[in-house]
Amino acid sequence: MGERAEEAAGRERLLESVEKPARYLGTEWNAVRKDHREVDILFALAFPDAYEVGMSHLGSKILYHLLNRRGDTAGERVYAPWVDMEARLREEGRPLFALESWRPVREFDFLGFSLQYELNYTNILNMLDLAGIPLQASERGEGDPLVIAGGPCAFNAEPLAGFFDFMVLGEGEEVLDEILDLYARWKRQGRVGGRREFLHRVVEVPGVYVPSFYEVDYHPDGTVREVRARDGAPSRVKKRVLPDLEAVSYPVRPPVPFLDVIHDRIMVEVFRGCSRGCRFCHAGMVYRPVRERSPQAVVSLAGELVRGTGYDQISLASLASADYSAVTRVVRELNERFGPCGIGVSLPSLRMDSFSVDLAREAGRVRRAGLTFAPEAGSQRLRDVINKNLTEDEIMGAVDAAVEAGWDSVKLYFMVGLPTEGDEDLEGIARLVEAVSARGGRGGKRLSLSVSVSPFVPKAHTSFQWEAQDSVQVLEEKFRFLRRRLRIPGVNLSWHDPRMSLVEAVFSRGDRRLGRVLERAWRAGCRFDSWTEFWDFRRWEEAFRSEGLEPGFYANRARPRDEVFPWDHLDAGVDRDFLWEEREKAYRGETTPDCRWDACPGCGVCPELGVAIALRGEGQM
Amino acid sequence: MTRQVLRLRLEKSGDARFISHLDFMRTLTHAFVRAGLPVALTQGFHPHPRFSLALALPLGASSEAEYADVELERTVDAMHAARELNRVLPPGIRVRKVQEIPVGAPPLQSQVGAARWLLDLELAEKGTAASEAPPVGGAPAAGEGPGPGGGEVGEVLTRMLAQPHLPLVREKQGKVRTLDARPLIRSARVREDGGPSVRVEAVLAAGNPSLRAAEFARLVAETGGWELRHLRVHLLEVYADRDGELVDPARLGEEAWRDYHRNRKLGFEE
Repeated sequence: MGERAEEAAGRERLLESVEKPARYLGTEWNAVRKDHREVDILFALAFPDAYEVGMSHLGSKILYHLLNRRGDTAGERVYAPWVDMEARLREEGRPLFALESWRPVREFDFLGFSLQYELNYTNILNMLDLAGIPLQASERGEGDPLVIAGGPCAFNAEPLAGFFDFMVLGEGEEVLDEILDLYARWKRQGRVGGRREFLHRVVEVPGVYVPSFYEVDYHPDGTVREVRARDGAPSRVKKRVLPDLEAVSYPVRPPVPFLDVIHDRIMVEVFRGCSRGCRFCHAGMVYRPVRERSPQAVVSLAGELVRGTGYDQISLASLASADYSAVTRVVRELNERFGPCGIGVSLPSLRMDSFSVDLAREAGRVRRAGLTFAPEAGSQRLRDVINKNLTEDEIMGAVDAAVEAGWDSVKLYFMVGLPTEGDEDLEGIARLVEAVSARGGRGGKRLSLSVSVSPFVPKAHTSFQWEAQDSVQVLEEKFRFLRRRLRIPGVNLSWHDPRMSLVEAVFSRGDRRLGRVLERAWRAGCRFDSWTEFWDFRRWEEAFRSEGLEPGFYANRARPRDEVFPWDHLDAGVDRDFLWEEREKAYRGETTPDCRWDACPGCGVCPELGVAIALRGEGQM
Repeated sequence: MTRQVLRLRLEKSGDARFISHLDFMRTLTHAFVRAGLPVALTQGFHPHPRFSLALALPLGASSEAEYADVELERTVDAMHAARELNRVLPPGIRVRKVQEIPVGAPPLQSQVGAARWLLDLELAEKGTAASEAPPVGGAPAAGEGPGPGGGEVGEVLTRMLAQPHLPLVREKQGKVRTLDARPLIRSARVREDGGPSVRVEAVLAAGNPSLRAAEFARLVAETGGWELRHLRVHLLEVYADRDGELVDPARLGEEAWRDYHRNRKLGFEE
């Protein structure tokens, strides 16, 4: 057998030995397979979770498209290999490969991770290890890829600081090209000065954060004293933001997975950002301001995506799609155009009001989806505290509209452990669920309710970044209370593990010292921590203990107003003073209106980043 | 507008053999939309395209006989449809033949009674490793030494066919039952003998009742007292089974047209 044939046979045997080989083929429709001899830059776009999760992520589709649009770059995908594949790779000593070429990712120029969720962090280390790339950036040599990251968690990826050569804050569309242009030039110059020189060049690009150019000093109590920039790095790194969504080409031919992935449908991003101002919400702060796509662009992209992918479902994606200023017209237009071909429309993340339900009904004319709402809190008082801006009347109006329209089941999301929460607020959740359940379905049939309860996780860059998370014990008590109160026929209560939320809370406001805990937890066998079948809290406890760090210090401690945060040098554009004022208003139970329809509350994003709210609902279709 | 049913004969080879049956169905559904085929939809809250595959191929098997009956809302040029589909199908999946079937004719899925398989059996003398059969296209178990050649496998096949009964243990959802596999084997012979594996061609019952290729392979190994180290399966053709007579889809299609015209009393004579 020739070398090629042997390689092909080895590949087949590997695929034969795993449960879902279609995760690793790299031959999906629209996958871009370039001849590596004809490009200068190999970029492995990594998502540190299972294929089915990563293939559902819109941001990765956008970046894949932008990478491969460049003539000089091959962008290939790599996901966390499932445990069966991991075992086989380790057995064979075969390094982690990119899907399109099956070439080892350590031979790539870049390995870029998307940071979406703290409980994926161990997968990053596992993937680096499988790739044969040193975990610590400082230990990488000239032949290793530049390991970089972006995504919402990059706004406080301090626990990951040691593992990444650099990170990118904010939206990647423009900065990606700037980085790759810089890299291509440096490579043409014979990689003058080595990796170190490239880092010095790339740190000049706005939005680029090189963690090794910063020094962190701590107070004896473990809080941060100071973060000092060295090597000409900026003292604050400002996030990048795309002023006009339509200025950048959108992926109308994303790879179409063979497997049934989590969001297996067309996604048209109708707007980015959200200014509802929910005080717990990380995305609501770091993606500001709101920038809409014109209805004409949305409809035309949807058409191209139908032809480009063959999906029969169009999802209007955003943080809250019912807020899109042209949503009614666009849904109607899409239904008119594509309904006759059996292509349906869906709207994720709906508000709980009758307007949204009417929209969902209109959208569901072809194929009806389930209804999911997030009242978040059970009492009006607490909903005002978190600035949810949702009244009991609106909630009941939504339920009545849903029943009227023929839905017989609804999903409800709540959070427990929110700041200022008391017994009456928990009782409020129970009462609200009872009231919704009593509204009943048609013909005396009960409305079936799935109630999901998650612990509140304080996040960096939000008004609640100073708050303490409830201890695991308190959270468990609260859940037991709800379980006792919600023994109602037709109500199905589920609960997010408070220990998972604890680890999430630790890392979402963590500092650099946590990198050691992370590495230890991974070495002890942690990976796929967000998957209940692999989640093992004891390993985490052991890792914290061994490193002498206390999870409670990060998760369950209220911070004073002037504490220096590990992420203070990472700038999402929102004023820290504004966040504090919002926190004060929360404690007074005062709400803040949405700047799209009301006065500017002065969060600072627009002047700070030189951008503006863009509402384009008036446009023609 | 007149409806139309196309019977596609597809090839599933190369990487495409790693696409499961359900995923293969979804892949075709997407391709129909990309090709702009006016596929008819079912009614209800969750409409889906009206098409069916004749047989559920096991994961890891390749095939040159994936038959899809697709109902269209209006008549298209069949060859053109096949060409358009081939433009938008992923690597390893190709339409090789297309035949028009009368609307309302029974779908091939309901007619299939037998399937012709190629099985590459990598067998070893028993002893070193667990004798549990790997799944189709499964990884080899440990164990070395030369396995039986084509002659020996041929003798075993002859012996199997001479048996009145071949008990086979089948486990389904935790329930174990024994059935007689002998009537489910129509024919079996050695095709080639080269390299580490022996190639067997077998016609096995398909549809209901059916004998899976992997089960047949296990029987061969058990009967010979061997261990199945690796199995690779390829589907050659499917048939309707009329009291032992195998009728291929092309002929079933012709017969459907004859019935159609007879029913319409257009004076179609044999």
